[in-house]
This record gives sequence, C-alpha cells and structure tokens, in this order.
Amino acid sequence: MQDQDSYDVRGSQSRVFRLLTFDKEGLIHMLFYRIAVFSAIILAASMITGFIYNQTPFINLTGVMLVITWVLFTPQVFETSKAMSVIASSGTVFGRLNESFLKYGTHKSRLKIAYAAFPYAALVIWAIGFVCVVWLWFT
Amino acid sequence: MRASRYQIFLYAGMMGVPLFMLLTVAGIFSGDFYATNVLSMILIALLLLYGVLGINDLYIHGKYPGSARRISKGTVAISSAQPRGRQGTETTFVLERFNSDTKKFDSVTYKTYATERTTVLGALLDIKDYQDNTVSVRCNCRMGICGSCGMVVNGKPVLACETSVLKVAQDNEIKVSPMLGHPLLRDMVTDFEDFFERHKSVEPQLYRKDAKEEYAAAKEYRQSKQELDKYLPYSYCIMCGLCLDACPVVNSNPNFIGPQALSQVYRYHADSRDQKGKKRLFDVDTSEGVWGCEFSGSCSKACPKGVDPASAIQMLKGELMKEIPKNE
Repeated sequence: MQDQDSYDVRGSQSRVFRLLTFDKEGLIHMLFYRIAVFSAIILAASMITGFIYNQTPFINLTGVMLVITWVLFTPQVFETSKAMSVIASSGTVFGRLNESFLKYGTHKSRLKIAYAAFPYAALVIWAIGFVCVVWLWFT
Repeated sequence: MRASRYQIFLYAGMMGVPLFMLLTVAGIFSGDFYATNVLSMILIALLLLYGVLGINDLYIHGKYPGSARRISKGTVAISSAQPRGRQGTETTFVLERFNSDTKKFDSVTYKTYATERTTVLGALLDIKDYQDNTVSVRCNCRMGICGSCGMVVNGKPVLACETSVLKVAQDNEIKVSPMLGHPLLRDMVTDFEDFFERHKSVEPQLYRKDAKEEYAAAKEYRQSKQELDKYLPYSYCIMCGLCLDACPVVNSNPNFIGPQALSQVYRYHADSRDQKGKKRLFDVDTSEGVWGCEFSGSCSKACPKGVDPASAIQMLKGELMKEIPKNE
C-alpha cells in the first residue's frame, strides 16, 4: 500500500478560535482560562507585594487585578459547577445524550431540577461576590 | 506518580481560587484581621498553584512536539456555473479545497441547484459529476451511518449527508472546508489513521478474566435494562471524527487523546460485562488522557448521534476522583 502525505495544521493555541462559528460559550470558556492562568499569578504577586510594602499603588493594583481575575474566573465557575451537575446526573442534566435514549432510557433523576439550578446558583453567589469586591475596593 | 496526583492540585486551584476569593472578601467585610490574612495567604498559594500548573498544562505540557504546519490562504479560482436546467434554488458553494502540492487552500466557487431534499453531500457529488471531477470527497452510505463524510459547513463540523443545503445556506451561499482537527490529505478528505490509532489505543473491546471464555463464551451475558442504559448512548458512536474536529484542545494540542476515544473508555468501563476493571480508567489517567479535557463541550455539540463525549469524560473524571483516596 502506498503511503500518502498528510498535512497537520493543529498545534497552535490560536486554533481555539475555530469555536467562534459554532460554540461561543466554549470559546469564552477556553479563552478566559488561557488568560486567567496568567492573571492568577499577577494577582498573587500583587497581593504579596501589597503585604510586604503596604503602599497604595500595590493595593490598588491588587484591587484591579482581583476584579479582572474575578471576571476571568466567571466561565470557570459556571463550567466547573456544570461538570459537577453532569457527573451527579449521569449526563442527563446539561448533557447532549441521544434524544431517543433520554426518552426511553431508565436514567431518571429526582434531583434533576436541583442539578440544573446548581451552576446558576453558583453563578449568582459569584456575581454577589463580584459586586462586593467592586464596592469594597472602589468606593 | 499518576496524573491524578498532579491534576488534583490544578483542580484544587480551579475550585479553590473562586471559593477563597469569596471567603477573603467575606473576611474583609467581617473585619476579622487574622482570618482575612490567613485566607489571603491560602488564596495567594492557590493562585500561584493554579497559574503555574495551568501554564504548564496549556503552554508547556500541551506543546505539540511535531512540526505543526500553518496553512495560508491560496489562490481564488472561480469555476463557471453549468446549470442543467434543474428545479430548485441556485446555490453558491465556496469550497476551501486543500491543495496537497502547494499545501495551501484554494477557494473555488461553484454554482448548483438545490431543492429542499438536497444534502450538502448530494450537491458536492453533483458538482463532482457535472462541473469538476477533480473535487475529492469521502463518502459511503449517504444516510448518516458510516461517518465518512464529515466536513465543516459554514464553520460547523457536520456530516454532509445529513445537512440540508437550503437549511444551512446563508444568502444562498455555503462555505465548505475540510475538518482541520485531522491531518489533511486532499480537498475535503482528511487522514483518519491518527484518529483510528487513538481509538485503538484505549482497547475498545470487552475483556473477560477467563481467556478461554473470552474467545468462546459458553453462555450469553445477561444485562438488566439499568445496566444497559449505563453505556448505551456511548455505544452509538459511528467514528465520524466530528467531535475530534470540534475539540479545541485537540486543535491546539494534538497529543490529547480526544473525546471519541475517551467516550469509548467510559462506554466499556460502564459495561457490566467488561472485566478489565480499574486498569481501563488508570490507562487514561494522564494529562493527555482524561485530564486534558477542559470541558468546553464542543464535541457534544458536534456529535450527530447524541453520544455526548463531554459528559462521558466528566464522568470518567468523577470515577478517577473516587479512586484517589483508595490509592493513597
């Protein structure tokens, strides 16, 4: 059998932008995660510097970085809680299982509504925290 | 060290950072100086852990060792339309044809007629038959069973034989390109060797402890409806490769084994007839295995059969998390 040459365009972080055309939620999650890993380190560094020097510019930097990191973590909080709901409900909540299987299968969960509400509840708590941070630092 | 030992720290960071951010802010509000300082220290440690492990996971560990080649846009050639007087709506097809000689894409425009029953695959074969016989498309059953005709139509990975032209056309125009999540061969045809290797690597077959029985079972293995339902939707996989193409992690780090193979790991792990036990789980307990998944869920959105690989991977993670205390 003759070997055929193939060409691989995979392997660059910019490839995540392919999601733009069919999965915007996934794209936001992926992008924010990629930025959040850096912002987490900058926030930690600014907090350490703020502890050591205790001067206004460092404390202000911590406030700004905290707000940025808070926003960047929002999709992470939502998706992580969604993953927990998926695990707890065996994929029936937030999953995309075959429709006929869901109709005729035995996967029935009494806590379906609770699992479905959990990520949104986590998001609400997270948003309240964000409002508190903004109020604390900037008023 | 098994990957879950290392990954547990990344996950601790993922879940711990939001928690301790909330707690620290609550501590500041309460005015408890000591508690706030302790919480801040823990938060700093978690932030550093999350950042360093995240960078390692995404940018260092995830670096593709091979030579990934970027492909630039190529020439534009417009083929003359050859309407055959058929009924239907005139539709423009813009084919992003991969040229294996120049290693570039040639954007070629064709015009054909589509009725409400015309599928993208049907239209492409029509173009091949009557306008340009050099257009390469892989297809077989033409009814969404064989999984051969996966391609990207208007930006979304789909089975061309299941996609109606008039439903997806925007201003009577459709853009078709090959799946870039697989190595490219020619035009819309991608190389599935790598994909099948990934599938084979997870040993997608039932194992029995008794080797003699495995090859010549004396009786049938009875299952209850509940046992069957644990793995049934995951066995619907037709290996079309759309999930792998949609997966942003595979696109950025081809070392990640991918959603199809992992969904099959769960399929066999959840099967009561399989006796391979925990080994099946531990084999994918790696950074390129189950922990490589970032749960964007795109694989499940692309799956035409409702296999939901994203859920299967999350459930594998859950199963592995349960195993950690037992192995300490």
